[in-house]
Amino acid sequence: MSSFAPLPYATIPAEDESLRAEVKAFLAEALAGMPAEKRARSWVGADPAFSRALAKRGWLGLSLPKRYGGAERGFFARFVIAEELLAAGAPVAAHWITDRQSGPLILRYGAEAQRQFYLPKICAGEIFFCIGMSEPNSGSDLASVRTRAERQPDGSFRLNGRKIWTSNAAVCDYMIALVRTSGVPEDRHKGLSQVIIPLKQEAITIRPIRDLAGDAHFAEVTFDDVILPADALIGEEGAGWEQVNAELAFERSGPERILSSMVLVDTWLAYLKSLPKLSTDDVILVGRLAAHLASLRALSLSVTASLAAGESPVVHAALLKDLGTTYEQMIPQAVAAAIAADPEGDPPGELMRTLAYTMGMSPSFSLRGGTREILRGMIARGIGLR
Amino acid sequence: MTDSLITETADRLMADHVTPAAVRALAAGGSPAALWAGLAESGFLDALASEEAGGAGLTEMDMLPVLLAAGRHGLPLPFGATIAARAAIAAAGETAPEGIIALAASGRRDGGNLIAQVPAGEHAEGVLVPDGDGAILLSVASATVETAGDGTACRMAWNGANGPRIAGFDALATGARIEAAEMAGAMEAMQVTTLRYANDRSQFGRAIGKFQAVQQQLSVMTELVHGARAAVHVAAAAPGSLDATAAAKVTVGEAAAQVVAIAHAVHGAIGMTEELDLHLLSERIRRGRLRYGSERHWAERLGQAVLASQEATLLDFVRNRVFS
Ligand SMILES: Cc1cc2nc3c(=O)[nH]c(=O)nc-3n(C[C@H](O)[C@H](O)[C@H](O)COP(=O)(O)OP(=O)(O)OC[C@H]3O[C@@H](n4cnc5c(N)ncnc54)[C@H](O)[C@@H]3O)c2cc1C
Repeated sequence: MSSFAPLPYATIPAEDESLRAEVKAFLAEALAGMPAEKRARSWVGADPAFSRALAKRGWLGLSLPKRYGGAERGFFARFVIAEELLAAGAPVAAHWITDRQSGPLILRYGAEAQRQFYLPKICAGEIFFCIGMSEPNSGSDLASVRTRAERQPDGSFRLNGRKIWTSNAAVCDYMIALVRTSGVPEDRHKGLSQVIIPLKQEAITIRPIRDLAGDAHFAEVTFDDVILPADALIGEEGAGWEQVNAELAFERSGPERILSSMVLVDTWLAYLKSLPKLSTDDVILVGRLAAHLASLRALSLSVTASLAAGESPVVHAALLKDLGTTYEQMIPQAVAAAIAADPEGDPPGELMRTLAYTMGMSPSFSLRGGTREILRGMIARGIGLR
Repeated sequence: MTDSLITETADRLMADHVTPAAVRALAAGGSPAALWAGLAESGFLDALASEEAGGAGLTEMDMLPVLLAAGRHGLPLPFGATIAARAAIAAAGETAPEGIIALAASGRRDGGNLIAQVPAGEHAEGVLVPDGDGAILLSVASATVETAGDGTACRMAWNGANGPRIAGFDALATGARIEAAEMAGAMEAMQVTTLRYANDRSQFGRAIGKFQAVQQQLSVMTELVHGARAAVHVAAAAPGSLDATAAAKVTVGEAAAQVVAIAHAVHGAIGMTEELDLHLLSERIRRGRLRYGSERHWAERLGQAVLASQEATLLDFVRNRVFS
């Protein structure tokens, strides 16, 4: 047998699958007329009004219990909705992180008062969270974070430091940050904690950073003597490392690590279908794209089933993410080569703009959520090499 | 039987009979009789046939662990093919011949002749050959047989071929699905073997598995092995979907090329020797890629299906046509 066994095959329960038709109908209306190059931005496109419209239909906080305003439907319901949102290229960025990570994290590690305060607002799309892990000198080496939250005699924290690459910080109300509450960076995993930081306050500066496509979805966030109440701590003091890793399993497991280039694929397919004659190479590429999507989706369903069973499939999620981003990155390269193979071709402007955007941004697919090399290191540990 | 019980039984069966020595003896032209007798005794031969027809009524999904185990041991005989053939023959109300039954990848009428390309046909007694929208069951004894020499397939020709018709049986697709599953199994074994080697072999004073460059290659190999397993799961869950079979053969075949390359890279020169069993797995995988249509064949068919379909998105196509 394999020394690191594949997870069992899993399928979507019928009651969750039944959500799909309604989601499709909603999206067809909500996204009507939105050009492909805009839809290709899907999970960097933040539109709080769109997110609230989803909340109205009960499609946020799907895995959260009813007593906190959730739908109590679990990970597969979220999987169905996530698939449809991403395939359609909906602007999901406002609620994406909140729904996928911050909500489940608060449910799992939060105090009862925190759950009662935050979760219903999350489910209603009233508040949004961002993730404060990376810092200018702590990217892959997350344990080296320097942002400090120092306990004051009255139990409150004094927060100083800087976070960077924080997706949607400018749109969000709160950040869940990994900070040092004791010791020094050399202490590594010890002395790290997670705190909830209300972002709309004077001692915090949020500077949006433009990306190479001219969008400003991530930001640099500076904390200047921010005072946080004692109950800003989430989970246990000093348990930040373990918590952050559980959170990353949520982050890496979903269909979002497979579908980032799907708007480009479907725009290209529509173009191919409009041509009088197809090259065999193009047909073969279409078949390859379908084939790999199928096996990635099966892997993603297996990881989802494992999460639904209350496990933390950290290594399997890493494996899926690396394989999935490889696929997402292969797409713009292959489609570009296919389109440019015919110098006399006349592809529509919308397709070319979508291609340009997806090609330009594709290197980020294997950076966000942990780089390729770091994930492969985790897999190496999982198979017992380190 | 539960999934893990089938896995255990199949692994024990293969370990007992499909030894490296047995595989080598077959490759040298030895008789498959003793090896086959051991496999036949297992009771798996009629596992896919319905209970009314005297079988066990298992599904392809139930039987996937058996194919994976066969692949892990590099079994060169058409065991999975015989199991599928016996079920199809029983379902058609016909009687299956004793012994090994191979599935032909193609059948071409040329005047009064029927010419077929038959993977592992050199060991078989019966063959199901594609013909029209089904297959016909023919005996090897009445064919002229030309072995290809590289073990991929042999060419068989029947003059005035006549045999029971098995309507609706797609020998090419069934063969492709079985081949993909056995390749996925062989890739799992390669991963285990390579991992063990990376822990045992030292250079520069430490196990080569401690070098990050080697670790990253083994991580990629693990990803590909998992991806291949997922692909054959999808195909086994939807044996009626030609698109699922196509997806599996493409995914597994493409992954196989990389997995074999990494396994050999990590083994260094010793991996190139005859004495090491590694090449029995590479050999099994090489044949699998060439049998029942390559990645290119299946990708083209799948691509045509996508482009001809009315599904609004590629994801819809995959959900509706590959997953069900
Ligand atoms: C679009 C986008 C959105 C993001 N959103 C967020 C967010 O919301 N919140 C957040 O906290 N962060 C976010 N990030 C940051 C992201 O998590 C980091 O970029 C990532 O962790 C890598 O860190 P780095 O950029 O500092 O690269 P570095 O760590 O400097 O790495 C540079 C290169 O060195 C390699 N490397 C580093 N260490 C090793 C090692 N030990 N072994 C082998 N190779 C190594 C890396 O793999 C990489 O190739 C986002 C990033 C992007 C691109």
